[in-house]
Amino acid sequence: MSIADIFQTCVICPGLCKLNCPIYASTRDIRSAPDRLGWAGYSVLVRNDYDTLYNLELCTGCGYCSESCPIHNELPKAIFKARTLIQDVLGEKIPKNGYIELNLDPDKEYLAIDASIYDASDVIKNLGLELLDTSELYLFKSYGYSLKIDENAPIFTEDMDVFKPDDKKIYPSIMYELPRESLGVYTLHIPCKARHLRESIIARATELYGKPTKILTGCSGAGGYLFKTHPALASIAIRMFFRRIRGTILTLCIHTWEALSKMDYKAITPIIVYRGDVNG
Amino acid sequence: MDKVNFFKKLRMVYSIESYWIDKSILKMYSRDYWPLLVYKHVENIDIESPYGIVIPKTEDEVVKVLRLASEFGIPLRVYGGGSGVLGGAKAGEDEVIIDLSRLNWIRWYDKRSRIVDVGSGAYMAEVESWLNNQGYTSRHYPQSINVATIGGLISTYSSGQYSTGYGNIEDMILGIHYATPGGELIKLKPVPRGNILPILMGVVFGSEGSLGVITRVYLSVYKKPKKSIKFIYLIDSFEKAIEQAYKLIEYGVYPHLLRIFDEYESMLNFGLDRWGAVALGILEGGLASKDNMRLLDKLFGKKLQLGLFEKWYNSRNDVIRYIYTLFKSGLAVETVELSAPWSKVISIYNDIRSRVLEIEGVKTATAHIGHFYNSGVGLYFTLTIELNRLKSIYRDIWDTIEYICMKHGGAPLHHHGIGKVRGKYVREFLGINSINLLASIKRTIDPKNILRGGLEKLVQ
Repeated sequence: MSIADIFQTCVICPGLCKLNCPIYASTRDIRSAPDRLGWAGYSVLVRNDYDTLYNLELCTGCGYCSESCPIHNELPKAIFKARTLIQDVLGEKIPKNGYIELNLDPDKEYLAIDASIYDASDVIKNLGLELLDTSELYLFKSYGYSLKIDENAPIFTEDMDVFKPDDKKIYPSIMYELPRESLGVYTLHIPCKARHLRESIIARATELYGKPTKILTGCSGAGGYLFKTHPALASIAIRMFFRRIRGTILTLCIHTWEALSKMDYKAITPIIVYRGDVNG
Repeated sequence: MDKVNFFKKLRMVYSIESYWIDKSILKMYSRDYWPLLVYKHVENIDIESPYGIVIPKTEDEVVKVLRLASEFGIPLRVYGGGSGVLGGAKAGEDEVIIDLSRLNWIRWYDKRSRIVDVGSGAYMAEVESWLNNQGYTSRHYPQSINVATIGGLISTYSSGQYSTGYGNIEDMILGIHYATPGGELIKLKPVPRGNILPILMGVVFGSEGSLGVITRVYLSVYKKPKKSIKFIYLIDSFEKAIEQAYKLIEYGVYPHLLRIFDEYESMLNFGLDRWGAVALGILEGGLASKDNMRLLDKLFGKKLQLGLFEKWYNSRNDVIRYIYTLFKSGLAVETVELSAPWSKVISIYNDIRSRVLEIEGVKTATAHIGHFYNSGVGLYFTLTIELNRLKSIYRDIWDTIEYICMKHGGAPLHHHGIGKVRGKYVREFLGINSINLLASIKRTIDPKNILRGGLEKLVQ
């Protein structure tokens, strides 16, 4: 069967494989359900509808769905092949040297945020900062696909109002899309771009929230190089591991962090800092 | 209706996971498994997405969502596994889906009394697997066991393959929690029986999420039987098989699993070299006796190889293979289930089969009976239809089947629910007084019409 046929089968099937998928069974994120991955692949490849392109990154390639598929559809293979095809078709720009290449102006102040930017974009604008898009947007941009932001969609412009000392509401307003874990028992994530600031980040986070339960160092920019060389591994790392822990993390650049400190603002999430040069 | 503030409050005050902009997730909820939508999807026709998604993780969050929806006048549609075949879980573009799949706990409530406490979003297959690992079973095996949640099964009044011996979903639920549209949590603790309880439980049984949102279920389960006998027979005709099954039930023997296929479905499923109707089943526990087997031999006659039974049993839920093969040949599959009294079942079957095949575009019409009661059966038709005519003849097919069934004294539904297809038939079947009563129940429980679903369609 062709890739399109495989995806089409998933569109027709009610998803008998669903519960065999370790990601869906544990997260219940419908975007990762194998039948819905088939929908996503079908939309992208057959319908040229890229809204669900991002979902294809959720497959780890474990192959359990194929085992329980009544016709043993090799969905993961189709997904990985689709990723390559999409790269070819859309002029993907995979970084060559292990890091995402971003043209940054060292004199500019950036704010990098590992969350959906829909709501946060206004916050960033109000701070007078440029947005340094990472993770999710990287995936779109690296495929040459620009994420369309619905101009008419309401944005929480009042978010800044709740951005006050000790006001915990800032958290859901920015991180609303992500599952949260209770603070107090939290994982501290240090982006690879900021690994040279590891000690100071840990100290600041400890000062703010107590000792992290776990410290992870990894690329917050969607693990570009890993994605190229070990896609299955990268998917696991990014979508499961990072997704889970980033529910407690907001990453900001050092300038923003300093500005916020001076203004006596305090975010509920640990602030992680790095300077303009993302390549560390 | 202020959706903006609804979502703002959901996230910022209650921190409840919700989406309303991100199309990558909204599109994943754009349909259920109603064939018209499936083939629309295949044909690259846009299917509208819901306005937003709310994914509560606890009963408390469900209550909060309903209170907020009531406050802001937001129409909600409950979504479990999204496996319904009549469009019941398909939300309009102004509706918000409340996905219950994260209410998925499974734990013992009272092991000695064999009662399990299950979140309404647990898939039935997860429940069964959890039970099997401990030597227990639910014995509720709908074909959709892998793709349906227990809450969804209750709200469509589900029936399973072991219904003849163990009963349907309503016989297995001892207690239930559900949230009313106003945001009150009704908690009915599990008890073996109690008057009044059926009225309160009935609010959410079969009402397809339009009167309340099921959050927790207390399920009665069984120890796995140590002894069982499988059987499979070939009978001269479907009519004769029905007659013999009638006698079996009259003897008071209700096999735990009993299914008879018409001649066409027998041929498709078993590839026999002889024309006839297959009857198969399982006797478990105390029923698995030589006496009962002798009775079956006497009634059904010619035994087939048990290998054929195993072949069917092991692949009985793999409908996709069949559907996909047909799809590749330009055919769509539709299923219709009915309830027929013993006195009418043969005439209903014959009349429907001959009339539905007269519709241009319907290629085959086969049937089986999988649910046997003292007074009648659940009759299940499977039709193959030319894909390019599906849309144009869809209503003709349903009109033909449902009206013939009612004309003969059957009920135009059994266990798939009402969804977006059956409203007009059920209205006629129930009569105006019953519909008015249902409408007043709906208005009383849900004056703002917050919860959308089968009943909402029925009483509009």
